[in-house]
Amino acid sequence: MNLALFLPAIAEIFLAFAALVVVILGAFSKPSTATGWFYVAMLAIVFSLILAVRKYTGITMAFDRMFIQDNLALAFKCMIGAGAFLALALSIPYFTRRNAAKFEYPLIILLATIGMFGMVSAQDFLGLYVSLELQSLSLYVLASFHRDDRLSAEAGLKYFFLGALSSGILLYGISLLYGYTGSTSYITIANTLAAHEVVNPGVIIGLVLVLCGIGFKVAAAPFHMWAPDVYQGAPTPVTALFAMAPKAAAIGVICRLISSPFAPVFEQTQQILVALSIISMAVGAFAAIAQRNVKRLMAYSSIGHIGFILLSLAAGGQAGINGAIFYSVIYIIMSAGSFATILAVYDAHEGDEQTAYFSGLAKRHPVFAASFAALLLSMAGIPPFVGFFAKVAVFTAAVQANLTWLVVLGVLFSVVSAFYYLRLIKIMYFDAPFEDAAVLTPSRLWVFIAVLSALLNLALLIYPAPLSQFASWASQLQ
Amino acid sequence: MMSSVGLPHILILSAALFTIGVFGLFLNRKNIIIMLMAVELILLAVNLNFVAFSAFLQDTTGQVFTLFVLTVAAAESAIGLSILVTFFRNFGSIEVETGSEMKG
Repeated sequence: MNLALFLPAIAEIFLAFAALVVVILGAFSKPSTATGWFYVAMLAIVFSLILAVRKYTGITMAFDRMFIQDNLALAFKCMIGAGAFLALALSIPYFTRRNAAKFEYPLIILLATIGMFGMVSAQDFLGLYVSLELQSLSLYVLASFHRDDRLSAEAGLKYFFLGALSSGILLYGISLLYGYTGSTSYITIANTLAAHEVVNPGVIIGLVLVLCGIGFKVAAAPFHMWAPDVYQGAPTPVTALFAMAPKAAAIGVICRLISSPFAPVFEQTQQILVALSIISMAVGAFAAIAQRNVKRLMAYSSIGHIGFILLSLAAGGQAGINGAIFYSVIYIIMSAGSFATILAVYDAHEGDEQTAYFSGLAKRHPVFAASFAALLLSMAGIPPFVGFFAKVAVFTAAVQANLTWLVVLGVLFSVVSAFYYLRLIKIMYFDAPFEDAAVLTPSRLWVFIAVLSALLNLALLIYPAPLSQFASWASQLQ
Repeated sequence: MMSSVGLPHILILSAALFTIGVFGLFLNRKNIIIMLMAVELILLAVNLNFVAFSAFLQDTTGQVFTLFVLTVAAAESAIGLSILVTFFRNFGSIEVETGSEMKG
């Protein structure tokens, strides 16, 4: 047997072995050593990415052309890996402070990471479905990880049922695509669709259902109703993970779908993406205004950001994918820093994340206040920060694809959403500290991640070349 | 008339089962176990679709897909039931209405 056949999937295989090691050794280890497994999982993710990058030799297929390793897959694996790594790093102080570290937590994150890696590398709907389920089932467990907490149990239950429904919708779409094209392979579906002038209605229904199923996973409105509840109820480091890694994975899946199986029917795909994008941007802008809970606010903010990424994908082609990757990287950086701040501010108030607890943060912890203010301005897309350039990249792609009216809408919605970002800054800098406000004693790791992401925000503004090179390298599909 | 049941009949049946499953999830306000059954119904409707297309196209991919869906459905019910147990421990009930502390 030629082992080189498995080389494209080396990252997944390595992570799977790492997960097996963690599950066997973790079961026999003392509970007091549980934090060690967090570091093991972080190392495993880093090593798997190094292996994948070192062994990468251009587009390669494995497992009877069901699995592909190309620039797009590798780039998204780096983003997913970074998201999972940062979420694990954020969790370590959180669990050690509560004395609640369990080895299952990093293990489940490892399994979810394998699923997310598989999603962006799938070249067949079977592979997509199985990896998507591996990811989703792990995330359901993570959402209800605080099993003695009512909010966490409720979040897990809601996430489970809406997630199961979305998988069902996705599967029904896949079954229709299979029936009307005779295959589940992306390449064969693309060839079959390209060979016919008229698109069969069955194919269109299948395509709509598949995109709706993926839309659920990225929490694009109108499929977003799970997001605020799950973001609020899940333990905060898990919310940070939800905001970073699975979003990147599902965006990667949409990039893959519009560039391979749905490329011949892009006209129809575009209509759905445009609709999802407009509704997501609107919900992200307006629904967050009334929010007083920061974790729910972050949920709506992420729905809005997904709307902008979908706008770029609706533009299609290499420029659209390029813009989506550019935006996603910046979004991951911004989320990491914001959640580090949220973890620190609500360390003593978990389950009750009112924005009022941010009051007077400028006096209680100036470093957090400054870095969070920079991140909020960046999220709002205000020029001196890199979030502005992310929006420019997205809007440029859309204008080139003659979607100027959509860009106008996007700019208007981002003006509306600037309101609630600026309100948080006002609360931090101008409101008097709330009663019995203590001095913040955050973990050094949280401060480090918040400051690092704020600095990256400025560094990418001064020197954006690496990021734009990364995005254009990743969107080269041939 | 042995062959009077054709592909359209099976597709209509599976579409009906799928719709019943979706409505079971949304309209049911009583019991979480029934929602789990609705999820299973959705997955089985899809399986029926796959098998019907597989027979129609004379292609085995659909049947292989069905086996994967069945396996994942088993894992999904296991996860669903365990989340149900944590929910019951916290709320003392498995009625859907009890667990809605988060709003807005």
